[in-house]
Amino acid sequence: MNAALLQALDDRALAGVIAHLPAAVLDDVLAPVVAQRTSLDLAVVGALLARLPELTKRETWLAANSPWRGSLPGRWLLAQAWSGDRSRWPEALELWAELIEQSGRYAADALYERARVRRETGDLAGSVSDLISCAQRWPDYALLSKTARLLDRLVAKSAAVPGRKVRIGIVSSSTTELMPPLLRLLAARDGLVAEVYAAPFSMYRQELMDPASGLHQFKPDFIVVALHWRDAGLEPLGNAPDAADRVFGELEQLWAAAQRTSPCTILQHAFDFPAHDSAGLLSAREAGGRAQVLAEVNRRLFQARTPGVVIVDCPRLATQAGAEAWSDEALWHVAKQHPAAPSLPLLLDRYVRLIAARVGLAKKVLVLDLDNTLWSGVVGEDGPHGIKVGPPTAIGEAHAALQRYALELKNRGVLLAVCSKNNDADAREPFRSTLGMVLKEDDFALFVANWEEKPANLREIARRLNLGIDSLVFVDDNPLERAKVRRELPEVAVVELPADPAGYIGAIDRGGYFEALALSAEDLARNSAYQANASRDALKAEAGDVQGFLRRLDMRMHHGPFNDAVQDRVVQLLNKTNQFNVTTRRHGAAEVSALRADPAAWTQYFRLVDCFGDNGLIGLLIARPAETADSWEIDTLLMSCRVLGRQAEEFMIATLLAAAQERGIARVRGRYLPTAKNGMVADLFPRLGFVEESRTADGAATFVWDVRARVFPPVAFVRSAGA
Amino acid sequence: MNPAHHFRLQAIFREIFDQPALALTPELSPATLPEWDSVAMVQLVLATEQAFGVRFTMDEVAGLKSAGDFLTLLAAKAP
Repeated sequence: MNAALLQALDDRALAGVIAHLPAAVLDDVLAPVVAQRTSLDLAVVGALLARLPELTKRETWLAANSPWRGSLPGRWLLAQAWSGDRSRWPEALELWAELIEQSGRYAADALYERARVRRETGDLAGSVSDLISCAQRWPDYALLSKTARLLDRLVAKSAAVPGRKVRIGIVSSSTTELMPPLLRLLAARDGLVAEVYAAPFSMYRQELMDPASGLHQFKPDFIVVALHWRDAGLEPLGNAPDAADRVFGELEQLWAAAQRTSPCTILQHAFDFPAHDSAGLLSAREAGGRAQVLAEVNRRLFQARTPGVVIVDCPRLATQAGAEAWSDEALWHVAKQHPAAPSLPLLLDRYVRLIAARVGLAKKVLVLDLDNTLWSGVVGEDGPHGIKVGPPTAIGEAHAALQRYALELKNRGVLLAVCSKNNDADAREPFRSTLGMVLKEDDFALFVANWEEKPANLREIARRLNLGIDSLVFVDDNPLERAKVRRELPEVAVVELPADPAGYIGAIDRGGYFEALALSAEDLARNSAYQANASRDALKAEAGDVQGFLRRLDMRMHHGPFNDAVQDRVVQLLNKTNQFNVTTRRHGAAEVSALRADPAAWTQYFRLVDCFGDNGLIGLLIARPAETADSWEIDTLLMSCRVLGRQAEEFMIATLLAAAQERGIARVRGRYLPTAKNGMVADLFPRLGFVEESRTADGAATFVWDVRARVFPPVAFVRSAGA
Repeated sequence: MNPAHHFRLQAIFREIFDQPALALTPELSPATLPEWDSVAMVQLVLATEQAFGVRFTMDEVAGLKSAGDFLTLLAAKAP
C-alpha cells in the first residue's frame, strides 16, 4: 500500500477505500495522506473519522500541533475529534471559526458543527446565531433538517430567538410532521419567531370548518392550506364540466369558514400536477381532462383576489425543484409525505417569504457591488473598455442579464443601490461609456463608491434612504466582503453567490427577498416597462410581412471610427468571425492600433439597437488605399450572423461609399477570398450592386463600385444614430 | 459488522435522538428506545439514505425493525 497511490485517488474513491484499509497501514500510510490533501470532501472526513479509534499514534495525530493542521481535511478531522473532547472545546471552537471561513461550499456544515459545540459549552445564543447563519446559506434538506432539530432543542432549553412572533397553522392531506422544525428555522432566519401548529394528517376540512378544532384554538395568524393534486379528487379524463367550479367552490367555502372563526391570512397551495398521468397529453388537451381542470382551478385561484388569501405557486416550485425532488412515490406510500423531503426547504421558504411580505418584512433595496458583479473585470485596473458586459462574450452576457434582472426589479418598485470599493469617477464611467451596459446611473437610488468598509456603507445607505438596515439585500461576488457584512450586520440579507456569474440571478431569485403580495397602483405608474411589453406583443402580432417587421423594429445604427471603447471587441470580432467575413483577415490588437493611427485608412464599427434592445457590436469595416491614391480596397467587411436579413450590411456599405465620396475616392474594390466557412458571402458584392472585375480558379473574386458614377440607394429601415 | 457503517450510523442515531453518548447496538429498537416513533423512523430513513448515498425500497423500509436491520441493509447496499 502506498501513499502516493492513495493521494492520487479522487475524493469519492478515497472515501470508499478508507473504509476498507487494513488497520496496520492507517498510521504510516493514510495519516500522512490527510496531512497533504488539498481538496475537502466531507465524505472523506466522515470515513476518516470512523477509522480514528484504530490509529495507534492517535495522540500525535490529534495533538494541538498535529501535522494535520496543515491541510483542510486535516483541520476538519481535528475539529470534529476535538469537538467530542470536553477539554479541547476552546481549541475546537477556534478551529471551527477558521473552517467557517475556509470551507467554501461546506461553510454551512462548519456552522452547524460549531453550533453543536457552542450548545455543549452553554453558549446558547451563539449556537442559535450559528444555526441561523447556516440556514442563510441554503443547505440541502439533510443539513437543514439537522439544523432545524438542533434549533428546536435549543429553544426547548429556553434559548432566545430574536424576531417578531407569528403563529402559523398548517392543514394538509399529507403528513406534516417534517415541516414544523424547518418552518421555525427558516422563519428565524428571516427575523420571525414562528409558533407552528400542524393539524393531524388529512383532517384539513374538519380543522378548517370546526370552530372548536385544534387549529382554531391555536389562534393562528396564518393558516397554510397545503393541498396537492390528489386532493382535487379528479379522474384522469371525463371529469364533469363543472369540475373546476366544484374544486374552486369548495376551497372558497373552506376559506370563508376558517376566517369566520380565525381572522387570519390563508396561504393556499395552487395545485401541482401529477408526475405520472395515464392520460398523457389528453389530460391537458381534453375538456374534463385532469391537467386541464387543475390548470383552470389554478387560474381562478390566482385571479380570485379574495381578501386575506395568498396563493402559493406550487406548480412553479415543482418546476424549480425538479420532478424527482418534488414527487417521490415511495415516500408517499410509506409516509404519506408530499412533496418529497428534498423539496421541503424550497416550499417552506416560500411560506416564510410570503408571511414576511404580509407582516411588512419584505426587503426593499437591492445593494449591488460593481466589479465582477455587475460586470466582469475591475474597472479601476482594466478601464471602462476592458471590462466585459453584454455581447459578445458569454460572461459579459451573464452580467448584462443580471443588470436586466435588477432593472426589472426596479421597474416594479424595488430600490437599487451601488456599494463598491472604487474611486467614484472610475465606478461611474462604465455607466456612461461602456457598451453593453443595461443599467444607467439614474436607475440607482444611491451610488456609493469609496474605500470605506462595506458594513459602514450599508449603514449609511439605510440611513440615507430612511429604511431599516434589515430592508437591504447585499449582492457581492467577494466572499470576504460577504463574510464581513454577515458578521457585522446580521440583519442584512447576504446573497450567497456561486462562482459562476451564470448563477447570480438564480441565487438572488431563490431568496424571494422582494416577494410582493400585490402590485400597487404606485408600482404600476412607476413602471414604464409595462408599456414597452405591451407594444412588443403588438409588434409580433402585426409583423406579418418582412417589410412591416423591419419597419417596426425601429433599427438605429450607432457607428464611428474604431476607438478605445470598442478596441477589444473589434479585435475579438476580427479573430472569431468566420461566416459573414469576405476576406477573413485576422488583425491583432497592434495592427488595429496601427490602423487607427493611419490617416489614410478608414475604419468603422457598427452597433445595432432595435426596439428589443441593444444587439451590441455587430459589424466592422476597414478600407484603405490600394493601387492608386483615389482607390480604396475593402480590407475587412464582417458582420455577426445574428443580424442577417436586417439590412445591416446595406447600411454598412452605404456608409462606406458615402465616406469614400466625401474623401474624393473614385473607386472602391471589394474582394471575396473563399474559405471553408464563408460561402454565405460569395455573392455579397454583386448582390449589393458591385461589378465583378476578375475571378481566379479557386473562386477568389474582385468587385468594384464606381463612386463617381453611382450612389448607393437609401437604406429604408435602418437609420444612423451617430457614434 | 462493518465498523465504518456502525460508526456513521451511530452518529445519525445520536443526532436524531439527541443522545451524544448513545451506543448503537444491533438490538436497539423502538421497543428499547421510546423516542423511536414513526416520525423518527422517517427521519432515520431519510438521513441514512442521504449519508450513505443509497435508496431503500418500500419492502426494505417495512423490514427495518432494529438498528441491526439498518446495518444488515447497509452491508448489502452501501460501499
